[in-house]
Amino acid sequence: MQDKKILIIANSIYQLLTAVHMKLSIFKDYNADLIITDVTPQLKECLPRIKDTGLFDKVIFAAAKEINKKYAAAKPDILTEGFHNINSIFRWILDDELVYYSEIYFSNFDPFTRMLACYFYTLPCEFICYEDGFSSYVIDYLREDRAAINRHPDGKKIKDKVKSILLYEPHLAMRKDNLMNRSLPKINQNDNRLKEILNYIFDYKNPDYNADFIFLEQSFRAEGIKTNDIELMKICQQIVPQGKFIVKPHPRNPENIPFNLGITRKYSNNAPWELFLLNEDIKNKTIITVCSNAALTGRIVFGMDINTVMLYELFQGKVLWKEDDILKQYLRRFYRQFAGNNYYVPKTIYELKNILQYLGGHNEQSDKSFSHYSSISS
Amino acid sequence: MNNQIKVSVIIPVYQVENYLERAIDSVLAQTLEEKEIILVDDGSYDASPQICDRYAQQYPGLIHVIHKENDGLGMARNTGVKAAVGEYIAFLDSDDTVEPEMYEEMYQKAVEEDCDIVMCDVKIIYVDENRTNIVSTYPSEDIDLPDYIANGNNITYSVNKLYKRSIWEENQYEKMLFEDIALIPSIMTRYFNIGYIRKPFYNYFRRANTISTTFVGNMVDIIQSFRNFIDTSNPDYRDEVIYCTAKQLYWNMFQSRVLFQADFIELLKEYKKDFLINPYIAKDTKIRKLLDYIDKEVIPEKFICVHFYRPIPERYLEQIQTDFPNAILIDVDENYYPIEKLPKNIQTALEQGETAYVEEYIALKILYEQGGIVLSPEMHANLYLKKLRLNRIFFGFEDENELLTSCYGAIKKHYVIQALLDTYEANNIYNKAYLPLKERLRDFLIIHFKLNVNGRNQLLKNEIQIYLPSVLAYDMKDNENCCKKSDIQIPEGYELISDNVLKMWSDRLISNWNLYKQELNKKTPSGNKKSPVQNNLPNPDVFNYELDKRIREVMNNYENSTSWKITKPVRAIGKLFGRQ
Repeated sequence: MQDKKILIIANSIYQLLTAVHMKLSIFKDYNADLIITDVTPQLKECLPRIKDTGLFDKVIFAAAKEINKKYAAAKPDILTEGFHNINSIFRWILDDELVYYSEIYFSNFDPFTRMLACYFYTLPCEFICYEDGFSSYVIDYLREDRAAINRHPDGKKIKDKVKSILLYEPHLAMRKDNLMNRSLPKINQNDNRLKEILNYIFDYKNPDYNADFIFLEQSFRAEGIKTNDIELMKICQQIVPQGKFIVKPHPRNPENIPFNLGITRKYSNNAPWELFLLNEDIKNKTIITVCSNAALTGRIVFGMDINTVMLYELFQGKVLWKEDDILKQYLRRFYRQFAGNNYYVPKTIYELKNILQYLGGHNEQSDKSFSHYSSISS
Repeated sequence: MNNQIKVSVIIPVYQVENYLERAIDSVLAQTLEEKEIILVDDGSYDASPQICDRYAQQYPGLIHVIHKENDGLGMARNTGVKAAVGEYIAFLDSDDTVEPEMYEEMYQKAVEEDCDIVMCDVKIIYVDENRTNIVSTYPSEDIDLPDYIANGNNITYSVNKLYKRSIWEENQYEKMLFEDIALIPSIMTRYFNIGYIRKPFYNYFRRANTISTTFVGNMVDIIQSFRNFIDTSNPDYRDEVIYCTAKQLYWNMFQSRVLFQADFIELLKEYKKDFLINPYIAKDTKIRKLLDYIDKEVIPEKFICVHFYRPIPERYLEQIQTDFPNAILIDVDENYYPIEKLPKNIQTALEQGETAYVEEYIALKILYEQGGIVLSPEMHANLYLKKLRLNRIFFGFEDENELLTSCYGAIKKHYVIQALLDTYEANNIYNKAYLPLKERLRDFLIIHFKLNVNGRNQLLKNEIQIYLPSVLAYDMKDNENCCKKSDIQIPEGYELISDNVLKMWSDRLISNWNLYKQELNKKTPSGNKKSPVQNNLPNPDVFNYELDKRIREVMNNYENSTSWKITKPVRAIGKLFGRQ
């Protein structure tokens, strides 16, 4: 081991997966500590198993959710008070002590991470952002007009500390900040050691269903956005043969409406989506989503060429990626330069039907459109 | 003996058993004695040949009969001219008559003034309308030739003129419809000694269902007639000839033969400079309207028939020949393009047996390169397809949801066709799954032109015309259908219509009818007054189809009525707020 000491912060399953991957690949020769937070409740369950793997010197739990919630949109005086009390706050929310780190890897510019930046501000400790999916490519989180915390003298100190961002597809980055986009090696889907460790950490179990068409629901209802996503699910369900279609509900949505409406069977697997991709034979599967980043993960993280049908062109509803030009550009660039041969963005319902039929959906109802040549060929 | 014949009257005869005797008798009643009548029976199969023979027997030396195979009016006249020995020649159509003094007075005028041609006025008898109209040839008996060519009447008629026989040694009719227009006005520009008697000697009986009042494919000959007139006329009278043509064109384009408008526009383009610099047209505000059309692009009359590994059906060829005799048929079989010249993915599709996919690509490609109308071998086009040539690009619905790609057209190098062709190069579902063009086309039009998938007529972005299924797919309305599917054998007297279209049609009819009744009830509440519709409905025992026909008529009336159109926004608002 070399004397560089690394700290990685993981707020989500996706981040934890990448953290483990980084430790086993680019940081395999360095000592590293890991902080997992309660931003995603499931992570706490993984904590003992992460410790079991021995990958990290220390695995620290941080109860950062409340702190983040309190300070993310706080007024300047509250922020000032918070940043003055960093030591107390850390003692209160961390279950172990921090040491000196030469590099700290994080994904979210949340108040907790900003406090860490202040904490290590005067020390030669570089902060390096790492990929958190979609948003890492498109959002300039530190732009001053975005949030009050970005204008606060302590809140914006992180800007001085962070110089680069690690991305699985650095050329896909569309942000307008000055962070250097650096390449993060893709996860090798044949890396059995990594797969075993991840399966252990997340206690992965194979699903008991075998749907060929998986619709990834998004959190529109949790966010109070009126949309036509249920109609889109229904259309897909009608085209796909019975039993071959399933909707993976979004955990933040208050109700499993697709299930309640009889559009889908119950999706019972709580395992991270990425582990599903890594473990299951997805060669003949099709992922359908309005615009879920999870649908892009296979391509971005693993370099997989999975049948993916993105429905954002057919989506009706007010969402960020419809309003924001950079997000639109991101989706366009992904489609044109990175998506691969099996990525579809239908622009009409008819095109969607044709795509799903082509990918193996042959419900009787819609088979009519395939009788198109009958008069000519007969 | 021959020297004594002053006028030879040539009567072409074809299927005119009811009129022929009247025509011959009117010549026999002529005051001019030194005449001969030449009856040219043009292969009639009614009683006309027998009538001719009877008259010839009855008037030997005066009436001659020539029986020949049918070859058209012009050829019959030519035959008559060859047999004629008279000093002068006159033509009489076998369903018309002449006044008794006609040939005597015209002959006297010809001799006295050494005329090449003598003209008279024409009385038009509108048989079905029981009225007559005298058309004066020229305002004065002194003919000012340039003014006559530009502003005179009856110039195209063969029959109101007496010609020196020598003229017919230098001229003859061509085998075509409108042979008069092709030849007579041109003759008038080349012979300067023209006499004129201001009397309506010639009785022209105009009836419905004659060539003047019905449409057939051969009528496109009129274009060649105008072309002949312009090209063979005396160049010294070019301005007058062009103006004369322009007037004829105007009448044909906007009144009598609107169906052939695209053909007339092509003629305008052909002589563009002549029409644009013509001093008469420049001063004539009405005729100047023609110039608005001179730069209008029309779809060329080319039919692109792609038929890999199957022949073009005979009936297809016959139909094209009958209704579009001047059209170019681009006959595209599997050998038309060398395979190696096709894009790689099209070659692959062909190797994989995706023939229909390749056919559709090739049709698009030729359409882009040459313009025209793609017409699959399974389709049956009719004369009314001509009017669609006035579009820049057109497609039709096959039913409420699907577009038809077995009949569509575009001008040469149209950008929409180019854009569609480009999609064959892209990595998309249409190429991966070898989807039919109609899928690609519908999505393309939805995305780029906001096509409303409802089976209705639409003009997209003022450029792309989309038609109802009844226009290009199924024959459901007279004078509307231009093309229909013909690959399924059906009993004679029936029309083929798909379930979907029939349902769509009847749903629309009923919903419009209900809407109409609702509106009507609002206007005449509580049934105090009978609505005009009720008054006009037939008896309860009428056949259903008659009722249906009646409903359609009423529908047409109110749908086309101004008040219905004006109140549309009000109805829409009412509907929005839940008013019934």
